[in-house]
Amino acid sequence: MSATASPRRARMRLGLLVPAASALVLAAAMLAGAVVSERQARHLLVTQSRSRLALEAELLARASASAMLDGFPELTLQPILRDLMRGRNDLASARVLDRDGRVIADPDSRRIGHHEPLSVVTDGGAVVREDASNFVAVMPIRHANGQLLGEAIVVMPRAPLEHALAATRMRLWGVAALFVLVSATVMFALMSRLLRPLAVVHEGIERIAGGDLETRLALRDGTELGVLADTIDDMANRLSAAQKHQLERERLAAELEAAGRIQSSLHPPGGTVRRGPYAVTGYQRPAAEVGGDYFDAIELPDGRLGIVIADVSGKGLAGCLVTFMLAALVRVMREREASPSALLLEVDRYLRPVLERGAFVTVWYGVLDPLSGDLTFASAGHLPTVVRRADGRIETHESKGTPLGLLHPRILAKNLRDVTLRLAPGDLLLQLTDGFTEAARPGDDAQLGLDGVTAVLAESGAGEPEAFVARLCERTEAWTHGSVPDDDQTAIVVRRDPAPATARVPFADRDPSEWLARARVGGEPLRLVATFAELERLGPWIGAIPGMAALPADVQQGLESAVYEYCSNIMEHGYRLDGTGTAELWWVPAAAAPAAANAAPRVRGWLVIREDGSPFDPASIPAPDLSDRRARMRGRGLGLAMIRRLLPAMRYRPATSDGNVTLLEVDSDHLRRELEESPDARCA
Amino acid sequence: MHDALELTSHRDASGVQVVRLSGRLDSRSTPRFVRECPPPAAGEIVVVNLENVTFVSSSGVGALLAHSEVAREQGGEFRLASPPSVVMKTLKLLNLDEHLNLYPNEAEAVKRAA
Repeated sequence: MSATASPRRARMRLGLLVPAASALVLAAAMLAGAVVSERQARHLLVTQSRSRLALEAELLARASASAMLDGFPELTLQPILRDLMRGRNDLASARVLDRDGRVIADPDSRRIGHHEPLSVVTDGGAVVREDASNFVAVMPIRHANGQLLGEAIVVMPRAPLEHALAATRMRLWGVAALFVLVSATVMFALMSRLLRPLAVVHEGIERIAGGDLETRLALRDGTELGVLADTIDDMANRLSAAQKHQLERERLAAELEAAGRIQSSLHPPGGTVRRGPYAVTGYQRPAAEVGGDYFDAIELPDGRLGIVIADVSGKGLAGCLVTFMLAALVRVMREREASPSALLLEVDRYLRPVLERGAFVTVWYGVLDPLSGDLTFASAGHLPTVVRRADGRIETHESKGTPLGLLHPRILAKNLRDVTLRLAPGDLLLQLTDGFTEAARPGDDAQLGLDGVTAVLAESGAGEPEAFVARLCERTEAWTHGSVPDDDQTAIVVRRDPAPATARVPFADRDPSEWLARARVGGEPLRLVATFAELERLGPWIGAIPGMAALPADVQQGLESAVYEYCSNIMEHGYRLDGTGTAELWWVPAAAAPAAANAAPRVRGWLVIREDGSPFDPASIPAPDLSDRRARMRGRGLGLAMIRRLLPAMRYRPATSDGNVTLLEVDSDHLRRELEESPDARCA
Repeated sequence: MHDALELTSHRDASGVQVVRLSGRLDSRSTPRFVRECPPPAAGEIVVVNLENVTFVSSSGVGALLAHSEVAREQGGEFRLASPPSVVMKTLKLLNLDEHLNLYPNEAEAVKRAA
């Protein structure tokens, strides 16, 4: 079907063909009839002529018989002949022969006396002979006693008969031709009348074929053509409806595709987010253009990483819209809420009113602190969190939280719990949606299950997280025999890079007892009693750290600020400034790296701090959102932000057998970089 | 026992409250600073000269920030004059400089008031 096809033309037109054929057949029939009727007419005329001629000959013979008995039969016969011939122009001639064959009477008197042979005539009536141009009737003339007296001969030419026949034929032909002409005309008119709708049908079909599906023939015709036209209209109606339906589907498909593109833009671009030794990899395979699953890894202003994975009950556009809202809520609230459970409660508060009746969302939200390796998460009805430790052990962390939007907020608040896991080098954490665990095997519908997933985890070596995700997808494909998933499959993997096999465990990753052992080798600590006044001793103590004096004052002051903030927290929150508790600080220098001769002086090492205050997790203190005026008016919570900026790493190990132990990593180059990023004082 | 912050305050001829700080504006001294130098009320101007501050903690920075915001809300003006490098570096580190009224020196801060 092409709109550009040239209009077709019939090579033979029925409107001419049928009348021509019928005229031909009629003409043939009339010809045959004419031939037959002419033959019959000829036969009739010949028979009539012969019998009339025979009668003439008999009459002449009878009239001649008495005259022949006279002495001069010529005298009597000649007038008889003349009478016979007069008024009879159809007769060519007549004559009487005597028994010797002498002409005794003839309208042409000059022929009297001529001889001609007598016909051999038997008894009976006249004999009629024919030749090419005449009929000749011969009647013997007999005396009453039977004696042969002579012959009477009458000749009639054939020409008049042929003329008559020809005239008849001409008339017949004329009538026939007229008849054929009239019938052909009538036929042509009839065909034209009958075929006119065909042109309409033809033109209509051409237009429909050309794509104009709104064409209707609307032919009011009682013939089969009318029925055909109605059928074509009906077909055009259905084609048009089908085309509208198709266009609508295409439009919807395009919109869904656009929604899907926006949805996949909610994920971190490139799939993997790296933060120091940590890699967070997300994977999603939607079951349709848009899905009800969502995952993201978002950087928090203080350098921590928020990780979220969610499964909205219900798929398609409705589920997709809920994921948009969920993503927006998580992004807005990630900085405001102190803990993952608080964030989920707040998200629930705003999400609840938009969820349809019976709809709910399972969400897992975790915050990874790259400084400490601590990952704190809360789970609202999501699948258990699976961790594969570097030594291959598998841990499964169930959660009691109920899905968002499902039960009363009070029940959610009661069940939501923050759980903290520590990721050591080589550890891998996996969170996924039930699209994986509930992937069904064709045949018996057995589900892959969490066991199937953890089996993949157990078999995987310490490869890259992307490799593990690929392996998980491969296993799921094999399990479902490659069938299209009927639920979104989403997974998020957090992995801490494994410790290099040959290198020894970095100091910061060792046990706190080792930190203290190493620290104590260096001598007596700085002991600070739990008052703010004691903190004023930090400056001189830091200034006395070997190598520190060679560093710019800014760097020294920066380090003092960071340590001051940390110790200030211990005094205020750990000891509540009770004036009796103590904190001990050691300086542990890092092994000196070979430095270039002209390199700027550099100090690297760790501050080990031990105290017995009530444990508090620095990571649980939220960073204030300074774009919010109310947060600025409170003016609190800035200390931890200073520490995070000024120090490359921090480890906090609460409630060990030696009390709470903290390791603050110090690198003067890091301090210098952070402080140099702040240009000189710029005044209003 | 005294903390390590000295604080003098006077009202100059044009009615601007000038507060001169020297020493440490830290966790210990900040509460006293907040008590003795309340944020300016509507129409009032307070200029804090930071020139001789040797150390500032997060609580000190927080107090300066809170005063600025409270003053702004009350319709007063809270100005910081001649911040030394140790203060400026901390403000920049926390991206707070844009939320504070900073002046290169006290004279400038007071003059602009007139």
